[in-house]
Amino acid sequence: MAEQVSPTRSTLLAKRDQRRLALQGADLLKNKRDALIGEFFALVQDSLKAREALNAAAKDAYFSLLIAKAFDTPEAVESLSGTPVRVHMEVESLYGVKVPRISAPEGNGALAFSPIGVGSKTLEAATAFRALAEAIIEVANTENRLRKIGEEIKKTNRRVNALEQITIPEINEQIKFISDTLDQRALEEVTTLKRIKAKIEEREAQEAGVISAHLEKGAGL
Amino acid sequence: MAAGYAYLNARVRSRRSQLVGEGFFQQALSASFPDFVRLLGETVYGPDLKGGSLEDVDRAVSSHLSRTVGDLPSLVSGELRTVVSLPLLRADLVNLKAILRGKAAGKDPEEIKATLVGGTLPDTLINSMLQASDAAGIAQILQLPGNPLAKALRNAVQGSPDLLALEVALDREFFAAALAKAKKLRERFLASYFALEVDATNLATAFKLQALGAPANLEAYFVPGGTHLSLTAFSRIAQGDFAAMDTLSATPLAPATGARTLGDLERILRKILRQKAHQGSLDSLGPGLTLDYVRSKEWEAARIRLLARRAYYNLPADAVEKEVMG
Repeated sequence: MAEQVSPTRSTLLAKRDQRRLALQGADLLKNKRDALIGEFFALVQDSLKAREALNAAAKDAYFSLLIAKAFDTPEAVESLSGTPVRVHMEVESLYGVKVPRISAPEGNGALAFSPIGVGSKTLEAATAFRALAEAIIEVANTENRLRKIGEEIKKTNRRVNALEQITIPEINEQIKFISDTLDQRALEEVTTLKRIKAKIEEREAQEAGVISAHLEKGAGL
Repeated sequence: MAAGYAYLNARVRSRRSQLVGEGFFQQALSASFPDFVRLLGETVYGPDLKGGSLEDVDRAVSSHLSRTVGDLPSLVSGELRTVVSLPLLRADLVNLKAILRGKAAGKDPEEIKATLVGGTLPDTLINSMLQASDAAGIAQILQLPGNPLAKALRNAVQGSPDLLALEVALDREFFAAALAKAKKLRERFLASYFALEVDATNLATAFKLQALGAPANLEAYFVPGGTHLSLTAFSRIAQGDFAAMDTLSATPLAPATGARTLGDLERILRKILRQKAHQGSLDSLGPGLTLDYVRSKEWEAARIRLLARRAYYNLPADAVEKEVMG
């Protein structure tokens, strides 16, 4: 429903400013959307590569695990699990969008258990699972960024549509309404002034003894 | 002691005759999982096999090992029991490290207990260790006179090291203490086997450190007591200088001098140690037969677990053939 506006000249000026601002905003949002779409497609490639790397790392890790469990017993291998992988997380701004950057800090690959009594298969499995954890972190990083950017593209698109389809036409309508009202008022004012002017001229003519032609006709005699 | 060995070796010889034959492994290499379970059920593992899942196979292997290997110390008494227990202490070391790791990670005692393998330590002692608050507390509970593991833990906890340093110290102390115990018992074959095992462990550790990127304190990972691999050669190999392997060319570890990957090295070392254990089995009045039997059963169990996994996950035979037949 259109907003009720008072049809005054100052409102008209304010509405014109609003329209200029809305058009500028729509242009800016379109530019932002285009930049985000570019970033999104660049990230899609990285994300697909990270997924492929994750699948390969998972295959290696689980094969190493089954061999390790066979040689060093399932219980002994499972007792080595549970070492948390610490991640470094920071939030960066990408065209005003807050996106997380997750990374495994340097030195995170250090062994968490003694290599002396452990079989080579278990060690291989530990290394493979460390690589798997890093692949998961990379996928989380790219897919999270992708999701955030995708959401932002949708949000920006909605904003552009709202500005172009609703806000700007509404302001245009209001401007038209105010302009029409002001024009109407101006016309009325001109008419009133013309009538006042005619009255004044008539009075002056009467005082000077001049009989107005249209008054004569209007006397109904 | 000779009478004790005669009795023990008679029992071990009877059990040795029941080792699973090579025919089973050849057949199992290409069998489907249901066929594998059926084949396993026809072996000495049959009575322990209670179901048809992979977990059931793992349980059957564990229970069979505890029934046929874990009970060996109970067949003898006195000093002979200590001798027989020595090759089985590795399982206790694995359990002790699992408890220390579980405690450090804040796991529940029940959760830790699920990751323990059968060893020689009694259940009551394990339960007490699971209730202890830290490594020092566990060392206080594990007061077994003359037990290499208890001695290793007492030495390792000194100075309150972090978990990795504690595990490394425990491993070092354990191998050294087991070797010292074998020497003290005047069991020459057992002592020479453990000395070779120390060398093999050191060589494998050097390869592992080389693969992981050699740390600064290399000597912390070197187990003393070996006869063929020096600390200098160990350090050179750990830093990637494989020319140091040539120092082993006139030793029992000579077949390993050509190995350049950890996988190849481990296969060769396994073969060398099994051959060494087999040499001892020729002495019917010594501990060699028991040692050979224990190592043969451990190898048999590893092969069964590996083949079970190959069949369960439907992997091609060549994916595991090198390991199973190596």
